[in-house]
Amino acid sequence: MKIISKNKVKKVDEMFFKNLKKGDSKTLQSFYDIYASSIYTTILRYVNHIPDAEDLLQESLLKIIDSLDKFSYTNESAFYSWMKKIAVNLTLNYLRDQSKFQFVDEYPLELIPDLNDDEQLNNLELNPNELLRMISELPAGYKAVLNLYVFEQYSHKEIATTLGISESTSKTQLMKARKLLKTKFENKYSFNIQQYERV
Amino acid sequence: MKEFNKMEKSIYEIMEGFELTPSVGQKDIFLKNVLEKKAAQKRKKLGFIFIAGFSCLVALSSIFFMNHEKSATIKSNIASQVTSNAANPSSISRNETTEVNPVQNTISDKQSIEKESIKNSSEKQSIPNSVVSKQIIQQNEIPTNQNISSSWNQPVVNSTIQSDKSIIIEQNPINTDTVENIIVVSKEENDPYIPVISLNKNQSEIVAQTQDHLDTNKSEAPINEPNKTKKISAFNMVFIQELETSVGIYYRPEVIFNIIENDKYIHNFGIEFKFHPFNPRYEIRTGFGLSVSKGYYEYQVDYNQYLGSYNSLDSVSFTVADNGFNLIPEYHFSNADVYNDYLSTYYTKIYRQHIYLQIPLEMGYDFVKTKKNAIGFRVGPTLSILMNQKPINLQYNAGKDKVVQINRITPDRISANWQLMGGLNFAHSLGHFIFEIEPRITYYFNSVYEKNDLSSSPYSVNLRLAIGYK
Repeated sequence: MKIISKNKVKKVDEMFFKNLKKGDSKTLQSFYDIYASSIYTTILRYVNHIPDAEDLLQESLLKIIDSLDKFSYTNESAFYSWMKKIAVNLTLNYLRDQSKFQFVDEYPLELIPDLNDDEQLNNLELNPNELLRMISELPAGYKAVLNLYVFEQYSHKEIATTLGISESTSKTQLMKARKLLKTKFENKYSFNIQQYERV
Repeated sequence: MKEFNKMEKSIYEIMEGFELTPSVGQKDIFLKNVLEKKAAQKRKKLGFIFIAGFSCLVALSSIFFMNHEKSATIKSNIASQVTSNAANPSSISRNETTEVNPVQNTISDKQSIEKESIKNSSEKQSIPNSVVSKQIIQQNEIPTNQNISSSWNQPVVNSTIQSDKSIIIEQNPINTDTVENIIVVSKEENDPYIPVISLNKNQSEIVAQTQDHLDTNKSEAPINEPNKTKKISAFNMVFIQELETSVGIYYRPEVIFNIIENDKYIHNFGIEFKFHPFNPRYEIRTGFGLSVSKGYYEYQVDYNQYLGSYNSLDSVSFTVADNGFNLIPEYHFSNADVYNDYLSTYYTKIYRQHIYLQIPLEMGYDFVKTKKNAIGFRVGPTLSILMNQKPINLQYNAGKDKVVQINRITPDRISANWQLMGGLNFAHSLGHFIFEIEPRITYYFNSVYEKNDLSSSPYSVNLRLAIGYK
């Protein structure tokens, strides 16, 4: 299944891009209004500390503005993906600098179950805020792999290259992240049942 | 195309379109940062253009100044040579290589030698003798000798004065119908062409040229070629005929002062090209190199200290026992960490390696110059551009402590800076190789940091070691 972003219906065209390159102040303001929130949310999925996330947002936006010359505008979707990639890379570099990643390859590759043999999320009544909080509570390594795999849609090979780990480690981390998330979902669900039973 | 399982699909769908807004002040900070950065880039660009322009101006001024000096020297040499030759014909007869052809007409006693300066060659050809004449030397003032005096009655062809290596006399058969006098034409102050001595106004010429010119043009311009006065531009003189070049490599350890970091040692190395545009004493040196330095960045880490952990009861589930009457509880625990609420602070450092691309433009003069050794000074600007920086060592391990906030105290490195160096150069030649040692002082025009936390600019002492091949 290919997931296509549908949330970016913005008034961004080639003229907008050119004005942005020129440094037009109104375009800069529009640029911030259009993209800051989504980039900030992306960063927050990796970094759960708000001041750090805001610093990274600033750094990412500046880097994007600085690198506009290197990007040839084709369409808005490509532009957004390119910006998101810059923000993710900066965030990962930041986490790496902070030595936040701890990847332990505990399981041999053959023992990792097939990803399609999945844990299902039935009857979930999660809102995005709760889910974001749960994801942000994951250990940094799990979180990075999960985010890259699910939201950035990297393959395990790409994740391995980006994070400097092996493919099997990437798969292990993803599996653990899913299990941990599942536990969190179940806890929340059982808590709701308990509340219901008390009444 | 990626295949998701149901859980991943659910996560994606829940989060899709969800956005959190950063705090209110972030937009102003962003706009301020962008505008500041744009302004800084503009300033940097202007600074670069200014310094590049200034450097070019200095280089061009030096070239023209030295060219002028050289021309003045040539002019005075030729003038003195002409005078001395006129006063001492024996010296001419000693040195000249003369082909004597039968004379067709004689130069009358009324003929005179005129000495004049003209501004350029076109003027030289167009100005009549009567106009250009300033100083007339009567023929009877010219001492005669066997060769010259007799040759006044004969056309002299291709006469060359070689002893002083500064004058050539080139002459075509003289037609006395047209030859009225001999014009000695010297060079005007700013004339880019070398001096000439001309015999007449349109047909015959005695041409005086520098030996440098003669050496390189003898083969190109046969001296018996009629009516051809070779002209040498300043550019040719400087860059083609006298340009000596060499190439080499250098290594330059440097100790820098007035910076925040403690590690002050910088290693510079690269390739350089040297030109000696006027004579071997003058040198223009450029090239490119890398500068590798190591520095640490200080960070302030706020953290909650890890105190320990306990087994936290998450839930209890019950199963019915085999007898069907009892419930068996099953306790589910998870490990929970305990942190001190009090925020502690720790200062740590991260080592980073900086690699700069360096482009120098240095000029110099050797005030002592022998065949093998030279001592001189070198001065000039260098542009350093930050190419890469990477962390090489982290001195802090948070362990199980919960890091709350990290602030970098040391500012970032600036992406480009300008330096001015001055040094004393000692060189020793061994065959085609030149070995150089050069103690230098370098002044940094701007701080190496983005935020100038120090009131004064950095400076450094360094020692350049180089091997060149010429």
